[in-house]
Amino acid sequence: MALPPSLGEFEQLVLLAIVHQDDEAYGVTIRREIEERTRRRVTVGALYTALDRLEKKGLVTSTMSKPTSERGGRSKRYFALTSTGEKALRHAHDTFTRMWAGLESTLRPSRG
Amino acid sequence: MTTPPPLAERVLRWSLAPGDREAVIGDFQEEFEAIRETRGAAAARQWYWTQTAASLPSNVLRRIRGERLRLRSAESADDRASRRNVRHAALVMVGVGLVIGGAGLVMDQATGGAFLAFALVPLAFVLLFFGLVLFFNSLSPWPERDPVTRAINQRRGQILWPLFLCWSFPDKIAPHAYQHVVARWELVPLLAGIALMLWPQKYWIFGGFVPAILAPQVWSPFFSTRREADQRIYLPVDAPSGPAQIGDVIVTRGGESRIGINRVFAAADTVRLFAPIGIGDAPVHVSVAVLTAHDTVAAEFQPVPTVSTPVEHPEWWRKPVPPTAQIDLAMPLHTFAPGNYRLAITATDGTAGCTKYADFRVAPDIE
Repeated sequence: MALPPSLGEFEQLVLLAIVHQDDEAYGVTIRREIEERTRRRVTVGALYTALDRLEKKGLVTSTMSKPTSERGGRSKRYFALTSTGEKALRHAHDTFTRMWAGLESTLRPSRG
Repeated sequence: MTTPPPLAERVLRWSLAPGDREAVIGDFQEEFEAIRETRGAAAARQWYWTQTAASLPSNVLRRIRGERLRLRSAESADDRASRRNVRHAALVMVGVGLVIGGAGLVMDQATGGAFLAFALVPLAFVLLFFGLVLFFNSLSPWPERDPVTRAINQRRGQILWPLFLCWSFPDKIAPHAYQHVVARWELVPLLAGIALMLWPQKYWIFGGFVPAILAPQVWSPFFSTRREADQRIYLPVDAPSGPAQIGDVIVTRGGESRIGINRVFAAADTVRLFAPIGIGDAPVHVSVAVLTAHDTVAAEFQPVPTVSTPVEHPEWWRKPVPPTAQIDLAMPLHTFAPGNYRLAITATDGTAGCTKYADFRVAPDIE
């Protein structure tokens, strides 16, 4: 069976943020989700570059919403995970879990 | 109400691909509003500028990539091949130039600086010939789309090689005593004559001034080609404006790239008639009448014309071919008594029309 596409760290963060946001995953909410959970700055350009790459890989799909007034009459681009994306995320998680196995006592979790 | 900084918004809009603008600028606007409400307008403006500047490189890269993808998906297979050919031809030319230039420099060193001046002329000459050969072969940056013409050009490209050898090396390969016979300058008229005969008439700059005897346009089967698509053998013919004869078939050119063949048919033959019809916006009605010598109608056909798709050439100097209609009519001749006939092909769109005539003769079957 072919392995799902491999994911970079930032790609994993973006996919996980989409899962967290569920039906409300678009540029602003995805970026906030990553910034709040990882406490690192994310530029909009970098986020959309990653989202485009994930869409080309077939891991996410996007749809445009109806224009909304709070955005100056502009549409939102909603993102959703595909089944391939879900498999890729699961595969990445399993890989990390296997790599971490037995190391919990050796490498202490960082504080903060 | 505070709005995002106009200049930053313009920079952002410029950096984004058209498909991204709606969603990304909307995200910026939404975030700007949220920051303005919580931290004030100045912080919101600063955030907008910072994000615009930080996103600029990735936005521009994404825009360029998207544009390239769009262009590539829009281009045809021929255009893709042309692009590859340009790269390939350029690489070959650079490679040849480097090899010859390197050899020239080595020779220059070996001869104490006397070689380089003499090496430049042959270098330019060799590069010119390489360019011509590449142009006529499949490496040409502008490959000919018509398979038959392409095949002719390839043959002509191959013929350039012996000409190149004749031109470049007679004084090196001929024995010293005969060098005056095959000296370069005496070969010039010969090479010019051969080149004139080989050069396709469609590429002549002064086409009308070259005497026909120098350029026999009905060429020998040496240039016939087998087309891979249907495995048929084609004899490419550059028909002259006057009639030319190949065996018992007379070939004439009726108009731009239209070839007509006048010949005697046996009664058992079936004539397949192809006729191009110029079309406008209105549908065209075509009728084909076979007239006897006394202008009475011996038979009449109502073929339905098929309309071709317009052809856009990639070369800027070639006119696009507008859509044309063509009739394809199979006409068995066994119902006609031996004798002279005239085909009258009439096309009309209801308001205007024209009739073209073609004569043919049906001969009795020879047992």
